[in-house]
Amino acid sequence: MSTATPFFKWGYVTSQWGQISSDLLQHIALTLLAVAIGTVLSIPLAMLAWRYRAVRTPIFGIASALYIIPSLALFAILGPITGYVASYPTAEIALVGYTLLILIWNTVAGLNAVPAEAREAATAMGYSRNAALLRVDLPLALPYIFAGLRVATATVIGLVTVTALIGLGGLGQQITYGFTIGFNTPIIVGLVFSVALAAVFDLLIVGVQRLAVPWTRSSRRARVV
Amino acid sequence: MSAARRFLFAVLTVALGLVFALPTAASASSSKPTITIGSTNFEEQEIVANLYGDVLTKAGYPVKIEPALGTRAVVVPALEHGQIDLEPDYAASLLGFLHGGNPQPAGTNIATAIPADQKALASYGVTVLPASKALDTNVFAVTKATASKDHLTTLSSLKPYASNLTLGGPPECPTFAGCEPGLKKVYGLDFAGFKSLDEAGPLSVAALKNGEVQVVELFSSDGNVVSNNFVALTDNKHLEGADYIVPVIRKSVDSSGVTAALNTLDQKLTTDAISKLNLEVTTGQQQPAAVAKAWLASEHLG
Amino acid sequence: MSDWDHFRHFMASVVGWFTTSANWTGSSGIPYLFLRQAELSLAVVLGALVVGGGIGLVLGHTGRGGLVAVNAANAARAVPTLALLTLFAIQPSISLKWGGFLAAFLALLILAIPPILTNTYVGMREVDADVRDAAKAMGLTGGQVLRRVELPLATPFLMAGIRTSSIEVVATSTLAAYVSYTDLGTPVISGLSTENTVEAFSGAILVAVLAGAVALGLGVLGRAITPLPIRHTRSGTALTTA
Repeated sequence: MSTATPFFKWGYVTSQWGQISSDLLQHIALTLLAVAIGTVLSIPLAMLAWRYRAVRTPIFGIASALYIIPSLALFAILGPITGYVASYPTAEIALVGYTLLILIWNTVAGLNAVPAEAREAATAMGYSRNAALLRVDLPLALPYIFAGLRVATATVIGLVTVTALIGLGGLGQQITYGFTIGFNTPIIVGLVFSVALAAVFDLLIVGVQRLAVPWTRSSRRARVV
Repeated sequence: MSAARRFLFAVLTVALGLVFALPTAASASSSKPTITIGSTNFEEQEIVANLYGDVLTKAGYPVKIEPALGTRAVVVPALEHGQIDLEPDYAASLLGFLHGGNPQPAGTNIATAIPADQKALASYGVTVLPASKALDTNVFAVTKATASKDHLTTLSSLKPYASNLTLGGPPECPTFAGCEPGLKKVYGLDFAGFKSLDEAGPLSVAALKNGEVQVVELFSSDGNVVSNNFVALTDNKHLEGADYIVPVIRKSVDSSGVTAALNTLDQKLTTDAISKLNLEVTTGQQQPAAVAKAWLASEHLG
Repeated sequence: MSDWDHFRHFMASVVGWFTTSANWTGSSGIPYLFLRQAELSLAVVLGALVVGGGIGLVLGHTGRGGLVAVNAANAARAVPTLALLTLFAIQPSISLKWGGFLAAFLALLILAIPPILTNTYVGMREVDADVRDAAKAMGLTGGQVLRRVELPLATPFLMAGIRTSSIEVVATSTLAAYVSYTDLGTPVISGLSTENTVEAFSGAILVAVLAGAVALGLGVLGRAITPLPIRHTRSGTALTTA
């Protein structure tokens, strides 16, 4: 155990940069894929849940179950279904599962928040109910969807590390490696890079949001707290 | 082979072909054949691949080292199909791999493991040379003080004391055949209790040091046994796989000169020696190639 | 064997695991593992209530550190618990203390504090400035304002923070089994590392049922995942499914 060695060794970061950067890339890849698939699935599901009361309960029920099951347990449960625990499908299905509830919830909240006047105006302009949902309600719900995207992305970045316990892990591999040899530095590298990655992604999403929905910049946040 | 596996294999062949074809062709003018040495990403195998490379270079063979090719699932097929000529592997684990991942009874004893490996690889023109003295497997260790007090050397010698001792190991130890159930079945050891620790890592070391447990499962060669002066009890009834490091080589490059050079190395390559080299790479953060070179020089082999 | 046969055989093995008496008794039995998980989770949530609630009250009362307090919960999402667990577990002064309890406790505590801190702070700031001023005008001291006015008004928020933390802690305490603490995560970790899918699956079912029971019992899944800026707009909380 590392009693005599310093708490953090910079030399490790420089000498192992090749491995660290490839772990970082795997982390980014696992995250992007999960958030992308999650978004593509969630928005239509949220629209269905919002529009049709009958499907709301099953959609939220399944998404809630996926969200509540702890990640490690979800890997073990998915393993026999995907055929092999230590695989990208197992990891990705679980990671996507965690984004669903966050994204669906926020999208529905965003649709709920659309002012009645906007909807009435759309009807007056001759939009059908479904066309209005797509062309009026959904764009107006974007601030909520982006808020959900930020939470989902940060959550996935944190959870990717757990996939190290089934042989993937991105930066989680630094963590398990550090633990295996009793060496702080790789663990701290995994922790700091994960948090930094989340911060960078958060800024990127906020940037995209400002470009895509410039009208929301201050009004909604101003009402907070 | 399924279509997917065939496809993967084709991709692998092309990729490895691109990597290896050029350098091999370029140095073909030499009188002795170029020996391409591959290894997995596992640091210990990278070190040994470099040891092989250095002793063969000294013996006058042109050598090319391809470290960190991937897992055994990449390296062994590459050897079988001639993209590499030599790799360090482990007698029992290799045998299991060659039998679809199922551990084989022959693998528990090095005397039966090597012939079984040779038999499974023969049709590919690949063979296994005599084993080194370096063993990489799970071992059960005690402190030097415990060992000298009770004269412990083998797992069998634990029998009269086990009922007063606490065993430490990874969480799966109580249910895993190679751990607590195996110790009971093969050696008749009934411990006073079990304590869940980690996968032969720092918690296992700490628990043995501070006396929370008196017997603990460790890895023989990752340096924990050597650097803490623990005693790894000999598995005299062959519970664990006989995972001695062995050179696995294509017959086309194997000659008496190559065998002799590797044998000389393997006589000095003990579990203690590889443990120290592993420590230099893991906690010392040195490169496998540099560690290999320094050790060979100190042993007058390089 | 067909896939269906495989599945039936697998499920029969899982049922077999659950009906093996050895899995219900002693220090690797389900009741013991459950108690250890409950013990750890309860200790962590209580600790987080003291620390996070305390800091939240002070910051909320003084109105300082708002930026940190409000963002703490979301920033903490990206902190890998596995890193905290392993880091604490290998520090010589913490390692193995109380059967691995201390390392797991500290790591989970760091995870559990932010939701409670953020919610307490937000609850405190929700108190109408006029109400606060009126209380002061009536001659109440700072401590009295905190105790008699702010705290009661902030309590619903504090409760929401406790529930969010509890859900996360119960789920994450599974990982403590990786660093020598013994709880319901143990059969999962153990099964995964020996490719014993029956053991891993069975343990995972137990963990999932426990997490689901806690979430349903606390009934606030929505709050746990709704970002604060949205949570307090009227429309954001209108939805009460799940």
